[in-house]
Amino acid sequence: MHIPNGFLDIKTSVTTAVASGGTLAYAFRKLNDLTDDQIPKMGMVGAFIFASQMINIPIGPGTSGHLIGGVLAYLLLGHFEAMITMTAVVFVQALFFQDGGLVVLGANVLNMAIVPVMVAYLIEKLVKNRKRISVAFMAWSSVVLSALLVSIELAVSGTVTISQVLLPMIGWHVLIGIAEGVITMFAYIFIDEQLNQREFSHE
Amino acid sequence: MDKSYGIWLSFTLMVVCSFLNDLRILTFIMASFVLAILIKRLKIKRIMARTAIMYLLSGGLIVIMTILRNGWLYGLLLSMRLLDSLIIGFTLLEAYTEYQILEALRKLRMPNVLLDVMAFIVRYFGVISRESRKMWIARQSRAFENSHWMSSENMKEIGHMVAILFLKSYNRSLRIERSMVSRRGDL
Repeated sequence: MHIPNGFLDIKTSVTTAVASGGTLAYAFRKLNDLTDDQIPKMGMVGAFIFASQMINIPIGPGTSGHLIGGVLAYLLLGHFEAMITMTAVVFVQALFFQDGGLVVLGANVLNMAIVPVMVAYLIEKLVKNRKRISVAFMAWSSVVLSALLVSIELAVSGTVTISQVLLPMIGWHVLIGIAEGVITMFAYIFIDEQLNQREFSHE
Repeated sequence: MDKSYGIWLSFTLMVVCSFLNDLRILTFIMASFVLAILIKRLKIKRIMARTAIMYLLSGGLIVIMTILRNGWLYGLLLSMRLLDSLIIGFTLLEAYTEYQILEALRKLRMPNVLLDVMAFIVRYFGVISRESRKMWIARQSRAFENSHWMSSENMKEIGHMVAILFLKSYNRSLRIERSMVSRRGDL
């Protein structure tokens, strides 16, 4: 899912950077009154999502994927906080692990930090609940939509053709999305139960 | 001289390399960085090994697709762009600490909230990933097999593991918050 440096052309890099930058600027403005206790919480959720991405999920014989975690971050923190936390995760991966390019950071932030959170937010607004099936659907659709965006960005840049990239990318991520959906659902239910016992809510 | 200049120069070179279409200039930049690594006596083997691994993991498949579509010359151009920016990135990591790099970003007026969250991630990622590895080993030693792919039992097990990992991280964040409050006296 991480696009490396040099794989997008200038127009796609700039367009995605403007889209991500604009959305993040709005999020930062909305979170102006962030309390001090929220920063450690966001940092810890970020570190947790980063660590969770290292847990491999077996998808098929000899193949595996890993959690992306955007929807889980949304469910645990709220939409603006989740966007910023996921942006920090993607930024750290690009800066300190060279996983995903710094120059195409705008595209990677859009694909992995903004779109998954927005998808989850819109689905929650539509269905008005956080039941098992809706949580799983949020996570599944966020993965598939992000994969679709990656395919479009690569194709628009002329790196590959849409026919070359779309089928493998979507086919693969439909499966990864199922795993992401089921794991997010089980993880969220368990966390919610535990935190409710401690009278915690992200709101 | 302010150490941030080296970091900013590396970022600028990364941007330039990502859009260059001239193989000779890309080769020159790569050779200059290799020379700089040797002069500065940085760990060249480690930088090259990391570059090779990340090249294969992040770009290998797309480069093959590109060669099939646009020919080997364009594939080579994409490879050189990626290799250049990986070498620059890993050299940067050998020459500066994570906190120096974050400080250089702070001077570029990046939002403090984002940089603070990034600093937390850098600080605690190692701790949490060690915790995650320990949990994985503990599960394997209790005969949990990660081989029944996409089975609901397997997914439930991994979901619970992720949840416990979060709760441990959350407890840690509460402890950090309390220690911050106790040092400053208010929130």
